[in-house]
Amino acid sequence: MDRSLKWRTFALIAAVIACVGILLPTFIGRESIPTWAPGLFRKEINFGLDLQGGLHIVYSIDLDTAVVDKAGEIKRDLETRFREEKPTIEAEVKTPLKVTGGVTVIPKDPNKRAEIEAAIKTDYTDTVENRSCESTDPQTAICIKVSTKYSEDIKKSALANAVTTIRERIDEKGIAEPSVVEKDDQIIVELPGLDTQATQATKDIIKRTAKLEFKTVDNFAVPMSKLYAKAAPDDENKATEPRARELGIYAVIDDWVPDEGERQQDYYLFARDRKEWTPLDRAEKIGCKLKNDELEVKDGKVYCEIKGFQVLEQWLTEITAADPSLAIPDDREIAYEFVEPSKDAEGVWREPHWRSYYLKRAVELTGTSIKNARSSYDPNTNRPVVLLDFNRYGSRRFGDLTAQIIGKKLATILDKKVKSAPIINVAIRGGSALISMGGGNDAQRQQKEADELVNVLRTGSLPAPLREDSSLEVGPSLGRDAIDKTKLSFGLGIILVVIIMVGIYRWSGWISVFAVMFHNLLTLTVMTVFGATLTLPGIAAIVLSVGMCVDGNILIYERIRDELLLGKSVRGAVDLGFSRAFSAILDGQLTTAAGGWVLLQYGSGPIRGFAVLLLVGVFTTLSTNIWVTRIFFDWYIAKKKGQAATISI
Amino acid sequence: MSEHHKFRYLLPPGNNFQFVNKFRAWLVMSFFLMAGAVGALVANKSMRGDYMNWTIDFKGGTEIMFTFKENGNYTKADPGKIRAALDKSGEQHVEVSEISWDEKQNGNDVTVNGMIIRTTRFSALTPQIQDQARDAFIKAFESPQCASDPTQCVISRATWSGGDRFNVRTKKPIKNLIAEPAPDQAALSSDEAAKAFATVTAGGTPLEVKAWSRDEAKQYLQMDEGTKEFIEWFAIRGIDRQFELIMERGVNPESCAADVSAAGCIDVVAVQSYGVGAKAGDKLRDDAAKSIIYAIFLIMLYLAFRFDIRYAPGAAFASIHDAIMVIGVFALTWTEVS
Repeated sequence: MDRSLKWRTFALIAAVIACVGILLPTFIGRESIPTWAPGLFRKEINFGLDLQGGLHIVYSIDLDTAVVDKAGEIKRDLETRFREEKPTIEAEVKTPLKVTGGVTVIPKDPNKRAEIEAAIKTDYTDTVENRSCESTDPQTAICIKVSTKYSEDIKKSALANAVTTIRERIDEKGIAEPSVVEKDDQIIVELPGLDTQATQATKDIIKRTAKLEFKTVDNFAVPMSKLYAKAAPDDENKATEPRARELGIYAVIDDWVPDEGERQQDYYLFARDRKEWTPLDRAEKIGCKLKNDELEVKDGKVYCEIKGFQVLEQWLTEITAADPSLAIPDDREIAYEFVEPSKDAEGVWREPHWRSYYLKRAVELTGTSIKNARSSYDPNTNRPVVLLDFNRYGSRRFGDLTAQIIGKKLATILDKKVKSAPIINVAIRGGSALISMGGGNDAQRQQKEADELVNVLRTGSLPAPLREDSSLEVGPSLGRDAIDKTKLSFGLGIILVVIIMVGIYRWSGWISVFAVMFHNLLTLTVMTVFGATLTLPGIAAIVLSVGMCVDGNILIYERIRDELLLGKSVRGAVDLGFSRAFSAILDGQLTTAAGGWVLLQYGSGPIRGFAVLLLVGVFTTLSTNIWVTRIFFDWYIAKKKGQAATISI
Repeated sequence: MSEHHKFRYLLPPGNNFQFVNKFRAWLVMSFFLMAGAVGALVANKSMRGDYMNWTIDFKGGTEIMFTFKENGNYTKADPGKIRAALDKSGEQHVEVSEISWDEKQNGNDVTVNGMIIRTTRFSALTPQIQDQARDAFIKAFESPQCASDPTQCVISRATWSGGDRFNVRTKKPIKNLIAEPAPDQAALSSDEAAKAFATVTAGGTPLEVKAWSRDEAKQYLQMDEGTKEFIEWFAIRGIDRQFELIMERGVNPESCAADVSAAGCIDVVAVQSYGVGAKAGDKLRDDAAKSIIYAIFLIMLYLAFRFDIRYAPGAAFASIHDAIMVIGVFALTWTEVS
């Protein structure tokens, strides 16, 4: 027996043992595997939603946000128009907070009211309709809102958009067989039974609104100076106002000198996260209860961690309730940024904290103006950053905007939190922006955060935040009884293959039966190793590749028969049979692989499940046909020492 | 030729089918088969209303959640029996999956085992009955001045949606039209709506409106700030009721037919029903079309590279031909496409 055959036999036995070892946890359960076994031998096959069920999550989405956004857009359009037509038409445009989708236009010159109203009506024929003004509005105000019909349309497309976005996000995570459908004004997501950690990670990524906005920081503002006066720190960095002192809040002066222009000054509020006994309903509202489900409850209160921005929000609500003159106007807002622990310029260690920004509420630019997002490294800080490339509209708008606010700050806001607010020293016309990652000094976490952000920014933002309404477990979408039937048909199919192959090719038929079994074993092993998900379409692909595998064997066998009939020796016929059949097998497999690859690129959900298994099947078919079957023939020939007159084929 | 090889054959050797010889006949047959496939599609569209027998994945439909109760306590039902009952009833395209969740009952966490049924049907009511019910509702609640003065109209929208739900937008909550609201009489306005709907009958039985739960009432009786309107939903016992009956017959012995709340009988309760959109939306369909084109192109490219460019169109035509044949068989036999 030649050495190569020995080695091949040894390799085949090793492969079978390895495959059985890897598949063992799937059949006997992961718990039965000793803990010292390497991770590879502790993996189970992931079954898809259709085979083992999973989580059925209902999300509701606040679609009014989409209408409010539309109102904001109308406001921006009108402002641009009034600016261009100055001084003929001058008017102030507001979007009142109380009315969803409301826009209020206050003409400077009351005589122009009719003219402005007519202009709006022609510009937005079907988009807006009249509404009654608030009592606080001046007599001349034109009060409109996004029309009922149009807002229905907006909501409808926002919902469809959300469904697509969620589907893409899950696909990008590589989970097979998710199901995302809209239900009236809610969205149902079904995720296959992943482990708890993976489910949580997927839920997190689904829920990310990923709403990216750019707003200008309004410094030198009067309301902020009033707040400063209220919460100015004493020598010990503690506020003078008793409540702020209690909550650990104080105000800070922020000043900077831009490259061009005069010195700028701003005030901001400073707060740290704090732990305190909080009433249950408030704890639930601010979400600190989620951290640990087993929190101890005492007198209807829990000890929970309140984030710095929540502390600031609380204080602001309290003091504006006590003194309405401190309230900020409708067209301004306060947003918060989490400042990572770091050393400042003088080398003094700064604790992690939250700071406020006083912003103009109008959105200058949104995530929809982004062409692409990618993760990268900032060479200065050595931290992962996410680079945003604007599209043509976005880069022009960004350029104009930065030109207008030279010397001031521009805030990048992601999901209502300020991510950065750099000083704009020159107009930025390059068409890209940058978000640096938080996450302390944990490089791995930063990278993960950056990758997630790239995923959500690429798939686009959700039109509004999602709220998880319910989450419950569903059984296989196919039903357990149907799965049993599938198993039966799979078994019957195999038996039929055995009967036909053994009936026609006798002993060689048994070889191909073994080859098919090895092929299935290998396919499942490859799947397990790569963590692909087995779904019903996947099983269909396996059955298909069983067919391809048998087909390959038949090609080889017929070729060998032909050669034998031509009078070749057994050894010669086997050699020629394999080498000549190979090209036909390869052609067939490569075209199948091409089809599978295309399906993987453009398909989603069930189609991907099929494509993955088809590609794995192509690989395993090739290796079993060329390699495994051959070993058995070589064995036989070696046993007969080349003297065999014929073979059982 | 060596004689000592004894092979077994499915077809004896030496036979010669003259495939290529009669290629004209094959070509004509192929043409007719393809024409037949396309014809089957068109015929389906005109006679059955759709090209192919699409399932809920493509069309959307109604999703209904059921629980099973025995003597007032939650119990489990055998999905096999349910499926058999649905098959027997002639309901098409029904998907059954088991579902479970935890619920608080008397302070304890109880696992509830229910089922989700998905069907392509959107409503148990015919369009005529829907129209009648809509008219009855408007007649009952619209202000009489509406016809002469549109500014007096109370109802701005009244439409049916999936899962037999009636969606209303009104300037006042409809309860308000009857009497001043009393805060804890949650079900009042659904009761009033029920009276209006009960005047319409479908298949001999009057329409039945499901009473609002406290939560629903709280939500529906709040004015939408933006539109200054009330958005209310009324669910009719329609498809869900039909399925309840089918399933009750399937899981219970004959003796339970009279009263499913009797001991030893399982009462099937529809918890929720709602219309759902298609799982495979437009994007999926576009992607599928795209992938077919790219796959054929790639295969042609491979053939051109491996053999000769002249073989490529033939292979591509053969692939398309096969695909059309499959579609034709599906269309002709009205097999479900999922």
